[in-house]
Amino acid sequence: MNKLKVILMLSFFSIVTLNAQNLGITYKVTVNANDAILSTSTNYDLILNGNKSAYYNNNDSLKQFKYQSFIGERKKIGELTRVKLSDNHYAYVKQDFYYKDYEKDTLIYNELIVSKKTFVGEKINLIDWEIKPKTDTIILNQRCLKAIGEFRGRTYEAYFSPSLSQRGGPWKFDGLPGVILSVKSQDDYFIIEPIKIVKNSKSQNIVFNVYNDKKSISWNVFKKRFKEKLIRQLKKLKSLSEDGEKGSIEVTDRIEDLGIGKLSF
Amino acid sequence: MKKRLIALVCFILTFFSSLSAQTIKGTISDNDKKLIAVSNILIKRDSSSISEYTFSNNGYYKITLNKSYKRIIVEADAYGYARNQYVIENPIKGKIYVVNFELKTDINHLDEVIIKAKKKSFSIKKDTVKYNVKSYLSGSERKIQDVIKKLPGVNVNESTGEIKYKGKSIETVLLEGDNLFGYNYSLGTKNINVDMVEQIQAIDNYSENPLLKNIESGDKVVLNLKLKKGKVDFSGNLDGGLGIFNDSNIASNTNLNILGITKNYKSFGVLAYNNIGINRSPFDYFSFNSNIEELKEKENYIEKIIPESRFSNFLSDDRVNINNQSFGNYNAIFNIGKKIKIKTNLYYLNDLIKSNQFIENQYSIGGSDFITTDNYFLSKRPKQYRGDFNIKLNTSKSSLLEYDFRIREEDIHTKSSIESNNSNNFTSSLRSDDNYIKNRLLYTKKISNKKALQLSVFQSTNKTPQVYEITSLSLNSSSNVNRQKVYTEKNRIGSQITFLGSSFSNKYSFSLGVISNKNRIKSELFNSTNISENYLDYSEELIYQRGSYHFNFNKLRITPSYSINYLNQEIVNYEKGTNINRDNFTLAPSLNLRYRLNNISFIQGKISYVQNSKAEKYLFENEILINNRTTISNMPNLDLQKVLNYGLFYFKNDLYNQMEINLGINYQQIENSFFTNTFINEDILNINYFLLPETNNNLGMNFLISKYLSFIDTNTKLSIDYSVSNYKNIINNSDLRNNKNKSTNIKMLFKTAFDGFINFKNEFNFSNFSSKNENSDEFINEAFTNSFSVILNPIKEVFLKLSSNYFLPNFNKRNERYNFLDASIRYRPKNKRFEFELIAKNLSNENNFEQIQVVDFSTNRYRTNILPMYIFFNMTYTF
Repeated sequence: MNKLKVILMLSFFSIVTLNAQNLGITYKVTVNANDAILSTSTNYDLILNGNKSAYYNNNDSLKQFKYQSFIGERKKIGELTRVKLSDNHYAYVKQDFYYKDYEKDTLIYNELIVSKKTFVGEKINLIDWEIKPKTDTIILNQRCLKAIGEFRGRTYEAYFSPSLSQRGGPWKFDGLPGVILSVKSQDDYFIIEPIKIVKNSKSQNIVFNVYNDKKSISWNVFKKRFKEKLIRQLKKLKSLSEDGEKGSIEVTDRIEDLGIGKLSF
Repeated sequence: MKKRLIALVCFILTFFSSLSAQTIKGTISDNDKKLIAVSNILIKRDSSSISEYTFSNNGYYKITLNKSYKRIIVEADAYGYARNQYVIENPIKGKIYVVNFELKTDINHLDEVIIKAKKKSFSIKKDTVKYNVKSYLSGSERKIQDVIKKLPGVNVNESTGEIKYKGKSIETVLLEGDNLFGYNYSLGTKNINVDMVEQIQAIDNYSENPLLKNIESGDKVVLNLKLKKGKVDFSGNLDGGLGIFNDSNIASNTNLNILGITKNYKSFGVLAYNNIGINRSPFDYFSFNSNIEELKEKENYIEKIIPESRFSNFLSDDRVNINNQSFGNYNAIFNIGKKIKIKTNLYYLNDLIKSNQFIENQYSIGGSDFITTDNYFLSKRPKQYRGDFNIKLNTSKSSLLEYDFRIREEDIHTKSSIESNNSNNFTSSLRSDDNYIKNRLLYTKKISNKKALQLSVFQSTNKTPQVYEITSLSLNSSSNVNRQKVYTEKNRIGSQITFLGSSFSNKYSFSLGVISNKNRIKSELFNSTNISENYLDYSEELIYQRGSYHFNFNKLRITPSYSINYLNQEIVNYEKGTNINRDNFTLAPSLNLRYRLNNISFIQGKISYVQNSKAEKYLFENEILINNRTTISNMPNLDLQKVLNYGLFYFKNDLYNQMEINLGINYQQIENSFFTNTFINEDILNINYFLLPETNNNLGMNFLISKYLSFIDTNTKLSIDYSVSNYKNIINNSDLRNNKNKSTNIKMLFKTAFDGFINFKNEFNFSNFSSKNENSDEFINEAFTNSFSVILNPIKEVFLKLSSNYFLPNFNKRNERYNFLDASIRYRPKNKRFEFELIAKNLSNENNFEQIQVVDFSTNRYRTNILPMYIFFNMTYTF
């Protein structure tokens, strides 16, 4: 999906309906990767309108990389851009788009299996949050409550505002009785902080399901395919190696734990 | 059977748990009884907190409560509808409640509201942390050093002005990317107003020489001051203040700072005068703490044999420093074309520092107890003229030639009158000159992207002639004048060639160098006849080969380094007609390990072994008189001192959670030290330094934790320092004595950051110092200080500060305590260039301050006079 399409899907209509309540939040999203060279920091927008929401990066350029000066060659591969960060590090830049339909309890987003784009569908409430009592804090003038939850290998602290909206949140975070304004993993690997809130925007953003015509797979199938792809790569590596040589692949620098472990021959 | 039992237990547990909890279920619909697909059901005890919650499924919900309630508020909340609540009073355990909601459409038309985040107090990008100055202002800050002190991860040593970032001493403070101040960066930090600076950047892996970027090892850190937009061309500030001391003298403080920035020119100038204890210069003539530049260049200097009178720095300078300082400084960088950059730094300082110091020593030596007292009335007039010149010439794209030149002329004249042991009166005069010239030529050639070669040639000369005259005014003796003349000179010349390179993420450097030091000492002590003379030359020739390699293995960095040295030393004593010569080959290895635990913390271990000569400080054999009581002499020795050092450190700076932790332990073992052989009685103190193949050792531990507690909007800081040192000495012809000093210092700081008009700051400091000789009682002193401030900001333009500083120098004498009260009010009209401030200092009018120090054979009571109460009005004009 290219950027243009996303913009079309989020067309800005100046129609003021009876329930013109809608909410836009711009987040700064930081990934402090274990391999520092893969670290990124960029802005994402969340549009909450009625029972639907869209969360997407509004800057898919190479500026998101913390170590921009290290970027070497860049290559366009279909909708993706492959950038060389060092002799041993490559990254794919893509347009992220997370669509949520609360009526249907559906979350759909795109993921890469190495360089191939796939579409993944899940339920919205993925995290069993525990609301911490007496942890009120003010974020961007909004009274927020704190909740803690485990999600795919990391523990997250989230601050949500029940008064700003009934639900919603950035990325896959959701399932709290209020919109999630700020969330970070306790190891600081993944940090999402709000930088702007637009309440009751006059330009109402209508959220469409851009994945309507796409066939999505479940998270478990995605993990399985990801693992199969790695095993294929490992076999290729083995075929190229000399007798007695050993090799292994391990996924260590992802926000979510795919539960694949170390694959070796 | 067992399975059945477990099933039964499980059933019973389930049964009881369902009995003890309530279940609430129902529907959520709109006015037309149409079920609302998506909604939240919130369970609350009161109107604000959410205790439990669930989501409806196509208009139906059901929740079994896990907590117990005396009153349950059930709230339904759906997008586009007004919230609705239902209250269940005294709910019955185990009961199922059916609560159906009918929500009304929320037809409120709300205006668009945009809320933007405040600019973050910091941001991190690559090797740079950018601190936004505005976020760290509470209103009390005037100079940029006041803000730097507050930055997380940054520590400022108040005495030396040294700034450390993440535990490392910074190289310099840049101004808009240019190194205008060099090591004397305190010039900038002490004088630049906070209003001029937009952002302070802390930069890791800094290379001043652009040719060495990514080649030299990235250990250097600097701070960079980014100025506010519009603060270009010419800008600055003028502070003018007048007041009156309690003794009717006039208090005055004037300070003009001018900053000039154009495309090819950058300059900063200071003109300042004050008599309220402020030191605007980087030179400390009050307590003689070495500044960073002096520490870095100490190899070039020769130490004055007669030390200058050092004043106490236990209290801050602005309480004790009774000064009259005029200071002028001009720093400029000019770009001439693209290839030439010229930097000049000019300094002028003239001060008159007055002090009355009373010193009482209670000695307890080998069963003999006695007390000595000295009451000094001192006036010290230091003068300094200095000029630095630096030129950088880009001889080609891959080569750079730099030349440094410095000339300094310093003259300090100290007059004193002394009342000794309440009976002997003296007057004395010490005139010390210090002439210093330094030349350095550095050529850098970049051989390839990853390799470079540097060649440097350096020379320095330092001469320090001193004349000390002391006149006894005792009634029973005719005027008796002792005159001590000392002339010392050091000439240093050397050259070094260095090869630097990087390979993947590893970096290395190898150098070969030669250094020649030549020192001369001449001294003469005489009254009507000659008493003592010294005349000697000392030379030191060093040839060395050094190397270091930085291996980077993912999170681990290993830095082994070594130095192979050939050292030749010679003392030619013309007065005694002796000649001592010594050759030594030495190896000095060191290993530094650093493991990055994550992005915000690392652990570091260090071990090093060095052998060096300390002979230069202990050369003259015959006595030199340094004050009314004391003479010093040495037994020169060319043996090398062997120092083994171990250190382990943990450092964490979590800017996002505003938490900083430092933990460190350091152990040092020194073999072949110079020890003191002291003879003391009621009237004299003779110190003779001698070397023994014995061992001294020091152990130091430090811990610091700083955390911003958001739930009480308060920043807290706790630091604990502990040290033990074992040393030896001889007192009054004793055997060699073993002594132990122990010191503990605990500091706690609280500072609130409330949104309201009032804030508080409290700093508590407890110190325990003990000194013990193996055969005698322990000398112990415990002291306590507490500083408390109330900061009021009733309206934006007005800032009021009230503070109290409480000192208890000795826990055993609780009635001997001091309490200083200060107040200031500042008014800054909106968008005006003027600012007005009324300051009242030392309101309780304390007129002296006493502190106690202990050593293994005495307790030292030190009393000094302080600046009297004064009221002062200051106006600042910013242009």
